[in-house]
Order: sequence, then structure tokens, then C-alpha cells
Amino acid sequence: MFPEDQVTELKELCPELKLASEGGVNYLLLPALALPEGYTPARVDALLSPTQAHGYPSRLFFPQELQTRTQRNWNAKNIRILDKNWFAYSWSVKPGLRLAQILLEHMRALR
Amino acid sequence: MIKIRIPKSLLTKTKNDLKRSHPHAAERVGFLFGKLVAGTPPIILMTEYLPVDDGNYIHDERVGAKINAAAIRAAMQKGLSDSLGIFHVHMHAWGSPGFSGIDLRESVRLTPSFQAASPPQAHGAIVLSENDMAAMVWLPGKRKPATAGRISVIGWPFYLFSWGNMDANRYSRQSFLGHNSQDTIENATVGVIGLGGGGSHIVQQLAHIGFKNYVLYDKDIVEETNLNRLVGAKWKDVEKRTPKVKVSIRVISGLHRKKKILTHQSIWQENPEPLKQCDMVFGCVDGFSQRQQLEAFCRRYLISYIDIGMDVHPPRREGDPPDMAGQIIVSMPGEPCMQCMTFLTPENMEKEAGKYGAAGGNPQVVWPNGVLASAAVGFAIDILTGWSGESPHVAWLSYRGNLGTVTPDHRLPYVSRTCTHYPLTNVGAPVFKPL
Repeated sequence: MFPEDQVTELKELCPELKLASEGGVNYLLLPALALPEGYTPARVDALLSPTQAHGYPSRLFFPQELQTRTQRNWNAKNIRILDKNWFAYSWSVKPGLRLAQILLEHMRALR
Repeated sequence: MIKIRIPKSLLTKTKNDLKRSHPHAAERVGFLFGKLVAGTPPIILMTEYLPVDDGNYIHDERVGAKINAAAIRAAMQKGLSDSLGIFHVHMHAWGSPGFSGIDLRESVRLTPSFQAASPPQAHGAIVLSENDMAAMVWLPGKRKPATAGRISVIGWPFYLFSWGNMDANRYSRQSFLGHNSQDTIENATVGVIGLGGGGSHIVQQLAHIGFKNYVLYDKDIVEETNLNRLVGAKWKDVEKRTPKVKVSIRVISGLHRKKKILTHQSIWQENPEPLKQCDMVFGCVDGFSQRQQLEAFCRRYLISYIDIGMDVHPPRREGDPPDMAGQIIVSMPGEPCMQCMTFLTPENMEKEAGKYGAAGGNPQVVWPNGVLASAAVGFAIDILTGWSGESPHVAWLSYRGNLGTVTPDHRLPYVSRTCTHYPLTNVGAPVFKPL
């Protein structure tokens, strides 16, 4: 599924990491993911698709639109994945990174 | 009323096992496993079958089949570890099967153990015949069983075991669809997502055929630019800013006094619960991502999905005409999906994501929508009634508007028979496994 060492590394950021699949895509649920300082809420349950899904090489979904410091293009709204609605901004991360790097690269857009 | 949905492929596997002879037992038994979807009514989605090993049958001539504690423990273990409902299943010959006194006694005896193994799920017993089935269901925490009011076999043809009243005279011209066809049509619940050019045609046809239960979604109101194709819309709807869902209600109500129409002036994702009750969903949506989401939802709840769509593409070369093309696809749970068909690919999803916000008003006209909608409704009626005797595992028609043809898509022969994207074990509420 995902390399064990990369999962261990990602669990440093999200200890409660969970896995589920839909439509042939493996998604990682990141419960209580800590957002950068100043964000409300401070933590959200996010969903990471480390591989290609919904038109992007990888994508980080949030349970709602966030008020980002720099305006982002939230072009995915109410996307139904794993029986929940998700929101995501347009943000491309180059493929071939480790799981934790993928997450951190996506979260760079929140700075 | 409780609904049970079982994929045809799983039912076939179950029947094939139960019909095998046994060295000493007169009949075989097994266990079906299901997931409960809370709601009104509750729905049980059957996902897996566990046969009983030959060695776990006890020789007893007083009964058709007697199994030992190891067989029951194996079923309980699976129910416990995968959090599934457990249903004891056996088979009679043709006709309407019923539970014998022994069946009832044994079910009452076994069910508390099943409930202890997997408390949040529904459990019970099912008896099959070649052409029918019956089920007793114990909902979570209940001591007494309820009879499943509706059991549907999800496949082509679709079987809906229920009883209703129909207006034989009104539908006499379509009686060739089969003896119980109008009963099935009137008891089926259909969902239509998108009530514009394609969806409005579909609703109109479904209403004429006699469907009475609808779940309809469209967030938009009627605008002047819709009048070139939106069936049932009038000029005054533009002036009054009538929601498209109300146009559909008007069309259906003009043909039926008794009907149940749930409408939502929203995208379906904002209120998906009513959609779970549908037996069949028509997707008349824009874009690959929307199709993918709708198909995933339908797979999750064992709902037959029929997709239609069309586009008018700009000329490839200067001087060429625009290219009008479309598709009608049947995506049946347990069978190949739109990814298996290569209709949905990472490449076209990526291309669509790249074009976000640049689409504008796509060209749309009434006649191709009519062709696509008619073909889709034709598939739906065949699935529900089996009138044609055909039972393909996948259906994909391509429309070429420039030629006026509807033909099986040229990629159809290469579609894999097995779907790896939506295994039946993934139906129902998603399970997140800790890593």
C-alpha cells in the first residue's frame, strides 16, 4: 500500500493516521491535523490523497474552506469522497515525494 | 419496512454453492454478510458469502442440513472482525420460499449469538428459491424479527421482490414488458441528478412509463438560455425564476395523481441521504469529477447508475464542422465501472481540473439530449423488467451526433470483466483502518 517507513514518518505529524480506499484510490485520513498558528479551528480532520485523484497528482482535502492568509483558489467544493464532503484549494505538488513531504508541501499553501 | 440489496454476482455465487450436492446432507446452508444503512427504511447491503465446509455438516436424517458449532463460530468470527451482519441462508426449489418451523426455531436460537458478535448490525435468515427469496431480519437490539419488505437483486435484470397495485389498463400497450413489470416500475425509486437538457427528458419519459417514486436534484432556476432544450419549461418559468425541480414536479404531476417526489434545489452532495433509497440513479451531470463522485456513491449503496452526457467539440481543422458526441453508460455494482471502461481516466480528470473556471456556457441542444435520454430510459426499463432477455454485464453506447448514430462503444470488447476499483467489501459506510 504505502511504504512502512513513510507511514511511520507521516505518523510523526498525524499519530492517528487511518487508511480507506474508494474508486481504486487509497486515501489517508489525518484526524486532528494541526493547522499553522492563527487558523481557526486550530485542528481539522483532513484527507490526503497521496496519489493521483480528482485531477491532481496528489491532493489535500479539508472538511470546510479555510480562511487562508494568502487567497487560494478553492476549486474543489463539496467533493464527495468516502461518504463525506470535502474542500480543496488548487495546489500542485510534484510527484515522487515521500508521504510526509507531500503533506507538508500541500500545507505550505496555508502559510 | 426493511430493504435488502444483494448484487446479482453475489447471489449467483451463493446459489451455486447451495446447489452443490453434499456427501450426506440433503441440502446445503451458508452465511451471507451485510452492512446496515440506517435510515427510513433501513437498508441492508449484502457484501460477502461464506460457505460451510463439508466436514462441518452433522449427519442427521431428521433435517435437511445440520451444521456444527465450528461453522457457526466461523460466521460469528467474520461478523465480529469485519463488523458485518450475519444471515443464515439456505435454498428451496422454485416458487415463493417460506421459513419452516425448524428454520424459525433455529433462527431464533442463532440470532442472539450473531447480535453478540456484531451488535451494531442487523442479522437474520434468508431462504432462496430459483426465482424468489424471503428474509427475516433482527435489527440491532431487537428481540423479534421483522420481515424484509423489499429485496432487490442488483444486476441486469434487476429483481424487485415486492407487491403493489397497478393500473393494468393504462399500461396495456407496454404489457409486453412482462407480467410483473408495471408492479416493479411503480415500486422502484428513481433518482435523477440534474434536471436540465438531459434530466428533463428522462423525468418526462419515466413519468409516462409509470414511475411514481422520485428523488430529484437540481440547484438551478429556469433561465432563458434553457428554453431551447428543457422539456416542460415555459416562458413564464423564466419570468418567475422557477426552480428546475418544480418543472419536473409539474411534468410528473400532470401524469400521476399518486406519486412521491422528493426534490432538492441543491447539489446532491449537500443532501445525499434520500439518494440512498433509490433503486436506480440517472446522472445528467457536467464533468468527469461529478460523474466519478456519483458513481462512487451508487457503488457504495448498491444502486444501479446510468450516466448520460454530451458535448459539442470545436472543429479539429479549419473548415470542419463541430463534432457532436455523447455517451450512455450503465454502471452496475459488482460489475465493471467507468474507470474499468476507461471512460474515466486520470488523464481526462487532470485535463478537466486544468480547465476549471474556463468552461463558460457549453453548447447544448435538445435533440441529442432526447436521443441519450431515450437510450438511458430504455436501458433502465430493460434492467428493471428484463423484457429483452439480454443481460450484459456492462453497457456503453456512443452517440455520434454528426452521423446520427448510437452504437456500442468501440472500447467495450476490451473492458475487464472484474472491477478492482469498487470491491463489494467496500459497500456501506467507509471503514477507516488505523495505520
